[in-house]
Amino acid sequence: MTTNDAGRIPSAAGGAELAALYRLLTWLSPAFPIGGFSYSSGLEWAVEAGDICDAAALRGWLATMLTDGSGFCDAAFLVHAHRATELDDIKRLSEVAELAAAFVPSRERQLETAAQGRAFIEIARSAWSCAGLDEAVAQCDVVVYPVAVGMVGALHGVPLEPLLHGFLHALVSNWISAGSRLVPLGQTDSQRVLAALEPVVVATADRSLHASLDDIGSATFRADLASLRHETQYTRLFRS
Amino acid sequence: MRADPASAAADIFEANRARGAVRFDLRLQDGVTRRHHLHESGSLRVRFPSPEDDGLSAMFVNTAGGIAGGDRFAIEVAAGEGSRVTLSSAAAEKVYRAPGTPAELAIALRAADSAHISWLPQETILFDRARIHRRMDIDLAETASLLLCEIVVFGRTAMGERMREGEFVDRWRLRRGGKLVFAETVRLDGDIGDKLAQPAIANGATAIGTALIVPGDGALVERIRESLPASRGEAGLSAWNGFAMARFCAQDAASLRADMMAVLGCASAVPLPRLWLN
Repeated sequence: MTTNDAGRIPSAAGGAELAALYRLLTWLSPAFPIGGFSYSSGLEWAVEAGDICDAAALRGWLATMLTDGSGFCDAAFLVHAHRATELDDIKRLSEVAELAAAFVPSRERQLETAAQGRAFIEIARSAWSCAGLDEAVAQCDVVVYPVAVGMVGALHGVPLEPLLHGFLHALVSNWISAGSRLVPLGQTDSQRVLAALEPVVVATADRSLHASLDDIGSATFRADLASLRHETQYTRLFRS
Repeated sequence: MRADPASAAADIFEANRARGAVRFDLRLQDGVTRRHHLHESGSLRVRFPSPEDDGLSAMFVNTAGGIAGGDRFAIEVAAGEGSRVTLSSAAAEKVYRAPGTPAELAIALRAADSAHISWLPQETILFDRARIHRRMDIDLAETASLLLCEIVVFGRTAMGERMREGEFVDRWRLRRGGKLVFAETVRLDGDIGDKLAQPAIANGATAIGTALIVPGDGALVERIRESLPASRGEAGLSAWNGFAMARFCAQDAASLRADMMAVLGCASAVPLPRLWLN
């Protein structure tokens, strides 16, 4: 039997923080098999259209997606899902899940977040099972990606803040990975973009911790248009 | 005893805020849509021009001439089973500069089975330093249909105005058969002109628009794409969760409206209000 049958990290036990870190690094690693590499959140169209042509343009586009786009919204949905799960507030959790699932700007972004959420839950069930997961999932019609991470994290007793920062890091890294393949950019340039976005991630995480469900919102009209126009892009490497 | 000056100023401010509400419901009687209950108050009014077919047209008129900070307006329309209504506005809605308190506008549209609502107001124009919070709650029965278009222009572009400051929060929730199928909150504040300049936001464009079509599917989107002429601004289309959406971003309201009308022309059998065609 695996060691995590009981699932939740015993908070009193020594090494609890390290166990949380181990799980967090696993779930948010690009190697965690939810297929993140196959989505670009519309970046593929933005590169095709010439909006993103170098590292500076990629950094600017992603900073906006973090601050005023899906980065902030998804971060806030994770926060609300984590809190509702931790409080065992099933009604609240199902509200958060419903809102997050409807809060997408295009068919492909819906596919992106719903498919990754579903995969995340399935792998959590089979390899990282924990008490309460089936009950929590049963309350939700669709569990999109940020809700899945918040929910599973809370059930395992992973604290919210590191989980949130890990999630945003994974999100940005995945965007940069897509962008660097498309532009294309070298590995050093990609790392420079990631380094430059660190303060933006920190600020976005901070805002999302204090955002009510009604505060969640975005203004990335052209990033949303990019994900709409990607549907008819002639040659595509990515599913979004 | 004297009231302190701050609270007196607040009272005067409050007393000068416009309030307006229009609520009505519609019923299908002998194959014709008729209005049933109608409530109007304050500076928001509704007129019903002569019907041109079996549906009803309703035209909102804001007698206050525009929306200022702290104003509160509400519109509620309930379309009964099988009824059809086209809702529009007599003029572009101007949102004036506001000192602090945002204006609030709440719109609730409900459509019962087989009912149809078209929501086709003229554009909303935000002046520099305008503040407005708008909510749009749409509740459709499973077999109801909807055509909704909204255009927002940031700044009086004809006079080259740029929004240096302001607040725009636009919260949309669309339910179909009780299930939330689309939710969005557009949120822009601070130096809005500066934000609109960012490539992932508007790349300097000042007009944005959204059309929702329910029911809508991939086949509808394909049909629109095939017959769509080249757009003047940027446009994108998609369908999921049983509805279709078109999004627009353009330099000015006229270009955006032309693009939107091209999409609607391909998308819908609903005739556009005459005001749109002027």
